[in-house]
Amino acid sequence: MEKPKVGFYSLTSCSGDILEITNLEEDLLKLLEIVDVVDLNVAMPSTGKKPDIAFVEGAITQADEARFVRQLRKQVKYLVAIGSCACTGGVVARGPKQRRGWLKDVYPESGEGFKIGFPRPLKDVVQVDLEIPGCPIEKRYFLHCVGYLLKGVMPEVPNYPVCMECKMRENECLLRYRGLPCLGPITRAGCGARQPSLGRPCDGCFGPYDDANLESLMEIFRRLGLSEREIKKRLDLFWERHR
Amino acid sequence: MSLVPEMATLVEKRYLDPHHSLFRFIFDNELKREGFGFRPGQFVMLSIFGVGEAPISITSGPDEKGFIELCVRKAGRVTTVLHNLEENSKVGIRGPYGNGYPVEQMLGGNLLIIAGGLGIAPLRSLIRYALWRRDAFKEIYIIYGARSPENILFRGEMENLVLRNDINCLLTVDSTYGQPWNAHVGRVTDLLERVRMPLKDTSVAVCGPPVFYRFVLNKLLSLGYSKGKIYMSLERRMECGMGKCGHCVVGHKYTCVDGPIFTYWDAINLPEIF
Amino acid sequence: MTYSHLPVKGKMIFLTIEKSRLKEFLEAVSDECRLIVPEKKGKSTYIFREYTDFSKVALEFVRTIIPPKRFFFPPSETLFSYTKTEGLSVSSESESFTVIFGVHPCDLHGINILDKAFSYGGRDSFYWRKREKVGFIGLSCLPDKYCLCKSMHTDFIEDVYDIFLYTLDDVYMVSVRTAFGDDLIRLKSDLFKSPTKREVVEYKKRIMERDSMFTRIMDITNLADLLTLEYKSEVWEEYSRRCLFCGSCIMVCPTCQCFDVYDTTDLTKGISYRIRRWDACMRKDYALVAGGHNFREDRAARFRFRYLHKEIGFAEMQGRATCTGCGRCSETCPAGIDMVEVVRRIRE
Ligand SMILES: Cc1cc2nc3c(=O)[nH]c(=O)nc-3n(C[C@H](O)[C@H](O)[C@H](O)COP(=O)(O)OP(=O)(O)OC[C@H]3O[C@@H](n4cnc5c(N)ncnc54)[C@H](O)[C@@H]3O)c2cc1C
Ligand code: SF4
Ligand code: SF4
Ligand code: SF4
Ligand code: FES
Repeated sequence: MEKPKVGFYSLTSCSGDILEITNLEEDLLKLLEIVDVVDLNVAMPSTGKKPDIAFVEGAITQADEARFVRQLRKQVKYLVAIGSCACTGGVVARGPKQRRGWLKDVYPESGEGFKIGFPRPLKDVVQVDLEIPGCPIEKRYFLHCVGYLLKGVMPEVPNYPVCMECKMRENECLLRYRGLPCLGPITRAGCGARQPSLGRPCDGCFGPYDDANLESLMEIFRRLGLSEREIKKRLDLFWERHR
Repeated sequence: MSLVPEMATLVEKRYLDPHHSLFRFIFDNELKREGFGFRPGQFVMLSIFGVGEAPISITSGPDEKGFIELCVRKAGRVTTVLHNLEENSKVGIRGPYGNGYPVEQMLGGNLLIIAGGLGIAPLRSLIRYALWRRDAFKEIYIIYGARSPENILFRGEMENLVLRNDINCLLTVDSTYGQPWNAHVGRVTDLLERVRMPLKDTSVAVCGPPVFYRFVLNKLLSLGYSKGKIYMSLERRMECGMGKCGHCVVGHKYTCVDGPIFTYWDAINLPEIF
Repeated sequence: MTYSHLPVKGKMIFLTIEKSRLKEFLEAVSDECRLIVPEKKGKSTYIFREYTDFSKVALEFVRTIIPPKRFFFPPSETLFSYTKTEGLSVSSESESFTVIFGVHPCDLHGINILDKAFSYGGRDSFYWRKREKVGFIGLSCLPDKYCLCKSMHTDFIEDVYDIFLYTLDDVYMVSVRTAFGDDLIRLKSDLFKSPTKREVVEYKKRIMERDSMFTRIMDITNLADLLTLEYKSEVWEEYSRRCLFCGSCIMVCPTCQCFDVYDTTDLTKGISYRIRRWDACMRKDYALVAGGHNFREDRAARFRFRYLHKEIGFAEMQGRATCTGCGRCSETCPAGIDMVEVVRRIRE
């Protein structure tokens, strides 16, 4: 049987997700025995072959990126968004109002001339079969998903909040006991509560799970004494796009 | 009792309609193959390794030994991969689970079987049970409705039942959609009017999708059937099939252990039933 | 040492051990088997973990974040693996014998409830394989503002444990319940004496004192009826707007048993695993079936379901409410939702 062809593509992003995949090292080499990688821009030149499954990281900020994804969609059986930028716009889509200013600060000369649209997630442009969120993605979960895709069915996406994983690890709740503005209660699980386990509140990089009660958490943050500005800032990183 | 399934082999796959197929399995373990007994209305947990598990009613009859048959709709992960399996593939099966129909109590009386769509799956087992010992029952009526003629599952078998004169089997479709059809067109509830059996002695087994239940149950009540003699089969999410995982709980009953067969009377006394 | 630790009804043996010598006893136990003890985690939180050093053992804690259930019903466990060539393989690794020290009465009741739940409709082999190898050294406690055990009739226990220690001034009053408990005592029998008259008097005084320390009472008279009558109460709606559906209250509950079963494949080795992991009945997809029908989608219904379950749901099977009043859910809830308050609102 012919090996399924898989391609990895990067749009506007830090390439952190594909880097995570290359970090699989040993496992990646084994994976290569099962699938035929036709594109992996960070590690090899394109083979020019068309993929059956495309994993795309990054947000769409430019017209040619949008064209590229539309083209890809026509070729593949599964189009998978990997990483928060591809799923929601992520860090790339941060601060919608301040963007112009930032551009000018970073590129003083050419900033005005940049033809950059507001960063869009893949789903705003094409139909996406599966989203693997995370900033960056969890490589184990990525492999889990590949396992299902190769069988021709979609994996189940964790639809519960980080708190459940956090409790399973028996962490002391940062929100309850230390008054820290943790986004765990509204954020999709999958990371195994990485941040809270290290004593840092969750920043919400997986985005919301389907039943997130944002209003109630905001109310709790207010009671903790956070100002509206601080709350907004808290949500800016990964949440703004869901409001 | 264990969450670990027995290995089984898919020996035969029969196409029924674009969404449903009939699968025949035999257990790899000979003792299990010979010793596997069940009641009509019970189900098994079917495993596709690496994909998951799904509860599926046994559709073969309890008197047919050496194999079991499942009639499965392509609905999600497990069922899709099952449909793609080739004959001789390995699967896992554990069970049987659930209470099944109280056949001992039904014996000696009349039997009215009402199926809608895939609801025929557990009822086919009950039909086979009853026909195996036809003389142990008085009158038997079987009413089966589907969306269109091509959606009548087990069409050949059902038409053979129509031809038998020791039972009354009535078929209906919502619409013929231009396909050849010489039986009734309309609702199952229309056909219920044609049933001629003394109510007192009649057990009714109903299985079908939620809307179907609503119409059929209302009709049955208006015709005077006893709530305590109408048996329905409930569908709930199941992860274990043995009263542990909690997913199938309705009110305070485990569908997988206390059900899936409930009398209408027991069912309406469960909070959150409908 | 024999491992027949299942409780037998009968005459209880009482002994005492000097507090200063508990260390020697625990070390003897830890030499013999795996010993789990309560330790401080954060400023006011505790967890059960492997014994390392006596100075770390918390003797005056109220509750741990997660109850002892995780030692026989772990948050996530592999049930079996499968490969095309070798078929099924169930991990046959034999569990080491474990003694959990410092289990309070409410949690012992919780274990009793889980034991029944994992036996209903057939024994759960994965649970019992571990559970049968766990023994308990109970420890008395004093209530804090979340403890509800008195209302739930779990403030006292005569069963489940192998040994129970009641804290007195200078000694622990030791109740030995099982032959296994006796085996443990005999590891260091010179540490144990018969109680003196004075100690018995002190014991009586202590239990009276403790009884008067409960500040929280939940009135459960006719609660089953009330919850049924108030099935449609707007109280559920109101709380479900506040509830984050974060599942914390369920993860920490000693009697919550829900789990999810899923498969994952290690592509590189060609092995697939079936895993069970704690789940929460309040979760939106909990009752979702193929085709998209959700039997309990509404938030208020999901919020209510948990309460009904804890208070009346399995009364028939358990012969009691499944809440042990341990107070974990109220203490842990980030939204500050408190069971006592919810029940009070329903009563009003
Ligand atoms: C008692 C009983 C008998 C059944 N008999 C049959 C039958 O004879 N033929 C048939 O085609 N279908 C039957 N079903 C429905 C069948 O179980 C679901 O269609 C099947 O579980 C879908 O699984 P999936 O992995 O393909 O779907 P997915 O949506 O991918 O399922 C994911 C998970 O949800 C669970 N799940 C999803 N839907 C259901 C559901 N309806 N009931 C219980 N768990 C579910 C699965 O167990 C799995 O864990 C029965 C259900 C029950 C409860
Ligand atoms: S620390 Fe954060 S993720 Fe963990 S339980 Fe508390 S709120 Fe939830
Ligand atoms: S419901 Fe709350 S108080 Fe009752 S046993 Fe569970 S965690 Fe403890
Ligand atoms: S811990 Fe509180 S907020 Fe979280 S699900 Fe339970 S009641 Fe709701
Ligand atoms: S399916 Fe797990 S309890 Fe019924």
